[in-house]
Amino acid sequence: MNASRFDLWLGLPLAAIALLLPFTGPSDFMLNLATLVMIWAVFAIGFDFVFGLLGMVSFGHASFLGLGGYALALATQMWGLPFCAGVSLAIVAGALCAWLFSFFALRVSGIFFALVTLALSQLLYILADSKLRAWTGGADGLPGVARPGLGGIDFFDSTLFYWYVLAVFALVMAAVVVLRRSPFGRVIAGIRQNETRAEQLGFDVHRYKQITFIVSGGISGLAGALLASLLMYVNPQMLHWTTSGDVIIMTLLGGAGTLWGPVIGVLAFEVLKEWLSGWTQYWYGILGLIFILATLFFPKGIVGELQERYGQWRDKAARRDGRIS
Amino acid sequence: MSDIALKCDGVTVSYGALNAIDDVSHSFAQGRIYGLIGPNGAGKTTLLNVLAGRQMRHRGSIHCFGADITRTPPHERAHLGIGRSFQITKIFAEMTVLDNLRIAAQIKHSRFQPFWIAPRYERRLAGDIDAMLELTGLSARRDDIAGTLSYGLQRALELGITLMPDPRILLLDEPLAGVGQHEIASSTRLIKAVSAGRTVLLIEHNMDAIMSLSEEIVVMSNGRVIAVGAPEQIRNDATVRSVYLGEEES
Repeated sequence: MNASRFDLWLGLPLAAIALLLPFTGPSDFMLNLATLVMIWAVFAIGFDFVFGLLGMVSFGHASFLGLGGYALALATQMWGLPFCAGVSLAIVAGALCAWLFSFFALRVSGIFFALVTLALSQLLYILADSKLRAWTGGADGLPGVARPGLGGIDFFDSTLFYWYVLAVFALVMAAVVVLRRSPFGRVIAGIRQNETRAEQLGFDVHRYKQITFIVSGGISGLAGALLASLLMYVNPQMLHWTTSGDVIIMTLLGGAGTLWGPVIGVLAFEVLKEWLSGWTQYWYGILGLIFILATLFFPKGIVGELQERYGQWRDKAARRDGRIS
Repeated sequence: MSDIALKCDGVTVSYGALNAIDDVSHSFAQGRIYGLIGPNGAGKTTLLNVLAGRQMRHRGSIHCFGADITRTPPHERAHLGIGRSFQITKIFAEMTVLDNLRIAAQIKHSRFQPFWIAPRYERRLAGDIDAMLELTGLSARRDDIAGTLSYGLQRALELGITLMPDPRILLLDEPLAGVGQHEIASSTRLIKAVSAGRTVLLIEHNMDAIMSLSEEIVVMSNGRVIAVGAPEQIRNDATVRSVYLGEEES
């Protein structure tokens, strides 16, 4: 109960800011940054399904993001499909890739899971960079990825595209809230807390992990399509392991396993990146230092830490009011 | 349906040169309570692991109500009616007592779990959850986080989780271990109550409890079954006294 009220208190101002931003006369740069944050947040939320909810570190999520981007690019450019079909294909591509990965990766756990996902995604990156050049454009990538076409609205306009991404982001958030509170979500949380108990009760733990991994891949694929559309460009760098590394850092920074943690993590990361890169070319090093300090002092991430403080504060208030003896 | 609930045939589990279980063959009749005793390292927990499917690397075969389950994974065995509690409590420690029982009730009601918020489904679970809270005496603690309960109450919760899917066979690994003295009598009564009509395999080091609960005692030593009999008979068995209680054979 505590957690859901906390989520609401945190979500309301964020929603207000997101809704009001376009009316404050922001620059194109500002709107694009906000759009980028929301897209990466979708990716981080998808990633956190495996990381936060299942407690498994995947180092291969760049594959699902990148494939999503390429699926949209190829669907719209090569096969002439409409944008919506391209996005659907991106979701399917991400999910399908996660499904394939799961056959190898879910045989192992812990650090080995991280290594297998890393190896598989790097394999895909190398293929995209060299062997599949005819499809991926090699290191040059594919320029001119489409923007949505919806009833004659010009989504090349930054503000309109911002609204489009905000709508998708809101939908993803709503779906995540529902999934986390569903009977399925409860079982996933149970598997993270005690896999043996869940299995001994009769839950096919492997299947549950696989489904979660596939959902995570699908959401990441969607983020990939949106990212390609925002940048109007896709290249193999999206598939590179550093992309997987970035999303791990963002999620940890914000607070893995919490509802808003991945979103806040992405926001903090991107804003810091923009700010620091204006000052120095060594921004990544400084960001790394901030990350190290954050993991030392806020091991639960920004939102995780806030959520704990909020819980303590409520307990204290309840005790003071004599509701708990 | 077979009168035999569980049967193991020539079961051997080896760790290198050591046989944790050595050619164990035994049948457990339906509806009886079996006490599994033996010194540490006798292979009792390993046997329970083999029966529950946690230890699949073994020789020999396992049958459950006549069906061969030797290669059946643990979650499928649960659906055949095998419930298992552990020596070290296995609960969902970060969830409330209510959610612990809710998850257990979910698997009883459906193998498919909805991806959406399902009030009607949740209402169907409520009756079972209330009954189990009542049975385990946890009604007043329903909203407590499971990990914050006393060890005795955590054991009661684990028993509640194990019982929720209504298993026909109960494998209980030291359900009284770590339970405070003042809670032993009530825990023993609870185990007695829930054992009715079920096949129960009970490992326990509390001799008074296991002798009073069991209808038949299986004594293990060095991975082998060395004696089987009624509690009174086992108490007076010279071999058992020698290996288990460390007394000289007269």
